[in-house]
Amino acid sequence: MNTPDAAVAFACLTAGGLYGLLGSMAFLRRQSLRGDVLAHGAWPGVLLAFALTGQRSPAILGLGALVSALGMNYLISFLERQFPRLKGDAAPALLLSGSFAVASVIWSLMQMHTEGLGQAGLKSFLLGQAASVQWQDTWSLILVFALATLSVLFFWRDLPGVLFDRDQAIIQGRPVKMIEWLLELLLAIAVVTGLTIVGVVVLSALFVAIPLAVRPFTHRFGPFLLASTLLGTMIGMATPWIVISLESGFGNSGRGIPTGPIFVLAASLLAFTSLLVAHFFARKSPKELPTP
Amino acid sequence: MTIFAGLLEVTLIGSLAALACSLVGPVLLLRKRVLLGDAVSHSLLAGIGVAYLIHPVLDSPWLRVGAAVSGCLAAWSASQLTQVLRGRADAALGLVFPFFFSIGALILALAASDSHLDVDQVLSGNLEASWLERTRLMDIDFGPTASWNLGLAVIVIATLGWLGRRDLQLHLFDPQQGQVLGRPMWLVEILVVLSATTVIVLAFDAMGPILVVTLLAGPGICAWLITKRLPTFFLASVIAGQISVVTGVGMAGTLDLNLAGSIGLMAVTLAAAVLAFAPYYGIFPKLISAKQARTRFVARLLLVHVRQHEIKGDHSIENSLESLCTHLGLSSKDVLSGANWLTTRYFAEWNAQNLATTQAGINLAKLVVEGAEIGHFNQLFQTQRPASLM
Repeated sequence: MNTPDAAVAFACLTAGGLYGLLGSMAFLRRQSLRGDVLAHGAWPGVLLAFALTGQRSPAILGLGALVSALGMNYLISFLERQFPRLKGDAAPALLLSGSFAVASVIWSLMQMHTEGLGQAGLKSFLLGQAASVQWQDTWSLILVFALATLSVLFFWRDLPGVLFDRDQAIIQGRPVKMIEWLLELLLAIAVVTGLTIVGVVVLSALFVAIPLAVRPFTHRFGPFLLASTLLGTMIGMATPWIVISLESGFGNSGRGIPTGPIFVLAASLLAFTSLLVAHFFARKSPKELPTP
Repeated sequence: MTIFAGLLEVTLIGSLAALACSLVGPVLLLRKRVLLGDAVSHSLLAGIGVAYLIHPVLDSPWLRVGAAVSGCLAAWSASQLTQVLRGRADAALGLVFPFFFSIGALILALAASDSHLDVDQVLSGNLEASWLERTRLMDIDFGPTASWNLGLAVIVIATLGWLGRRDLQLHLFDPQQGQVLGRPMWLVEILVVLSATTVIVLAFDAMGPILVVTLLAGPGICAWLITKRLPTFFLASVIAGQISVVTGVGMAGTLDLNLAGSIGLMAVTLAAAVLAFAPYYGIFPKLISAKQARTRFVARLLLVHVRQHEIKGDHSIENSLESLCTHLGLSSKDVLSGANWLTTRYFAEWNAQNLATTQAGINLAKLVVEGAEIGHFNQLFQTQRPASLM
């Protein structure tokens, strides 16, 4: 089990479960694109941390990314509070693309002042480097997954109130603010952890596709969360297997099949299929009420 | 000479791209679908990949056609999915764009890994080199192809928008009303999405996918906060786009930065400045007007309180600063600012240690207490805000 392939497999599995769990809550809060936005927002933080310290250690880069992502999260809610007309799309779009512009300017400054800085980066940022995943990456993902699961279980009674009827939960005296902060912090930590391991596109795809695949088939909170976590893990388990069988099918002509796109395609095809099935089997008219 | 001409042409291409984006951006912003731009620009990769599979030449126009087709396909499927998901546009976009992007990335990784076409290259737009591709007709150089494409797109889009300006307005503000009136809202929808995709495909070569979104959102948000009519909205957006291109090229030239990045940075900086300082809606003007409203409220309170004690006759002890503070439960800073408001307008004056009303102040206090003429009252005390766009 010490081969890198096992590390990749476990990373995929954990990532699927983690983003399935957090994505389903983000879906219920109507923030499905938040993962994408936070991931782009983390990029300037990574570059700044690297530029200031000159080290490539994951802890420092991750800290920079986390600070930057949390700042992005705060800025979005600040802008939406101050400017009601920017609600919905405008504030995330501005901040997403703006942080990317900042990042590319910082990047060109760094290229000027630092010797031997390669052009690597953008692709691994977008699609991750699943091939070079080490055990420590996998362990950090597992740690975040455990953290997320524990905090969801800890606030299990209060979560539906916060997600479905915020005002009612506030009236009942539930710790709404704290749970929202916790969810946002978990989201940021998960995005930052997954950024270098699975990449932005995979991350935002899992965020949306897994809850969407489950949503038509359950109307209850607990089963929804559980099913999307399990489905995420299952897709994560299937992905390396698909990659390996595709590679053997293609006769392994020297080109490795990238794991990231396969992961995304598996998850989103499943979501499309489940939406189609749900659409096909949907009751056209509401069930007739039994006459007393 | 060549470098100077190159810089001029690069500025031309950049400003045409910004012009096109800032014409389309407001339309997307008002319908709350700017992130459609992000999704479409990521989805182009699938079309590029498929076009490369069919016709493996790097600089063929077919790549651009493929990109446009896949962009339109992504926009269409996102809108269909939004209907299936009952209006969850965020989820629809989040499902569609990684799907298309991954198809493209997979094809490029499998089929084109030995050529120079790469995800990196496609995704980091190269404005610096965009002028190198020339349009030649019978051996005469007619300038960079990108500027011709963008210029044509701008002319077509502006003409379409002008011809359909009434329907565009309906589309933006009240699509249901448009349907009731029997206007072809579906056509407007299709044209908007088509022109957005065209602009994104053309500007994408130069700016890269994410900075296209900056140019869509930044100038539009600037314009949204400072205008309240549609024509001035578009005008302000275009001006903001041009300002950010010119300052961005200037900054990139002096500091030797990434050109597209610094244009995007300038667009965001401009938007941030407008968000901070726009009259009525900006953060600082709102803070200032809230403070002024507080001062006016305290002044009103003071005036009535002081006048009441004058009528009672205990004004010589009750109207000093200390007792006003304790009785009204306000800090001396608040009371002083309110008293200052009154004294500068000659509604009251400091008489020894006491605040005393003047004749105008007596009249105003009467008005405040009677309070019947709310409209008159509002005219006196409240700033008039313009009705908002939307």
